[in-house]
Amino acid sequence: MSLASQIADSFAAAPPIRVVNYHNTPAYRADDYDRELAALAERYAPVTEDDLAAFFASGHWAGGRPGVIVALYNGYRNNHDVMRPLLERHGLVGWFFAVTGWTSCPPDDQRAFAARRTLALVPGEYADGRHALSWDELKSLDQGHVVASHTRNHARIAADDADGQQAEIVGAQDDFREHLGHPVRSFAWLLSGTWGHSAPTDACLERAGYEFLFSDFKLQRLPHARSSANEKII
Amino acid sequence: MDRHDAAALAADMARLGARPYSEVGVPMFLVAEDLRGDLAVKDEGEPKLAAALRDMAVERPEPADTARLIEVLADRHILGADGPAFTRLSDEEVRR
Repeated sequence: MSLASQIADSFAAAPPIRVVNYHNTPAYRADDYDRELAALAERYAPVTEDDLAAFFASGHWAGGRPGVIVALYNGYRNNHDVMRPLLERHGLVGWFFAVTGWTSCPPDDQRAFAARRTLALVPGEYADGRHALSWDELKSLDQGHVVASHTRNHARIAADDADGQQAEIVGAQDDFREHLGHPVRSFAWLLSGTWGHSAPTDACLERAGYEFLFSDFKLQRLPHARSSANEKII
Repeated sequence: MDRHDAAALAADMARLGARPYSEVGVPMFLVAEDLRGDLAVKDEGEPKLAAALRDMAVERPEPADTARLIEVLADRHILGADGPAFTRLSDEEVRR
């Protein structure tokens, strides 16, 4: 059976989770994003991590409307400047998957950091050289939106590189703890790794305390996740 | 899948593949998987979506096409049966 057929079987057994993925969100495309978010908001409810945990626990979306996850990857500053106001205009929750090492990188070094790690920049977008979300912006987004982990360095780490995996998975969580004052609950790996694909990776995910794992085809609630939808992992 | 539907699928795959992914919204459907074991997603599944994906998979069985097939499925269906394809809301060539 092909992978697509297996996924079809999963969709037949349980409803898929609707997601729209964004990366850079430059201002010159704001009208497009506005139309897209308006169309989503007409049909779907916003989703927080508590909503997602409750969906897994109960099998139903709270409020009766299905949820949609608006995911913003790589921690671009334009996600805050362009998408955040649009999300809030339409009553949606953004899931901001940040790269903690990039956020911590001095603005003068951010372009070089991005070039080494497949982070595309919009030419001429920010004259001050800061293209990544700042920690202050992430703290602000942490109120009302979802701040999530997309590794520390956006680096491709081999499955057998234990130190690299520790840094990218657990180290990123350490950064969130330091700057936000608490761990984050969701993680997205670079190469679409799912739980069960690599034992060392799974061990890192558990050590870091992530609850949700996003990959190309799945959104997994991890086995060590706590049972209460409202219980913060400490 | 008849020849018309197969051609439409190929056209959608090509159109989506040509979009500037780093700056556009990409709709996807993700399998919800609870690994705790003691909990389960209990809502009924979506057999129409499943059937549409199975048809596509028969036409394009290559594993490398899987992500694009689900992207086409989500693009066509995320705004509902009566809604437009999601990417039609923003594709420049459509608006011109």
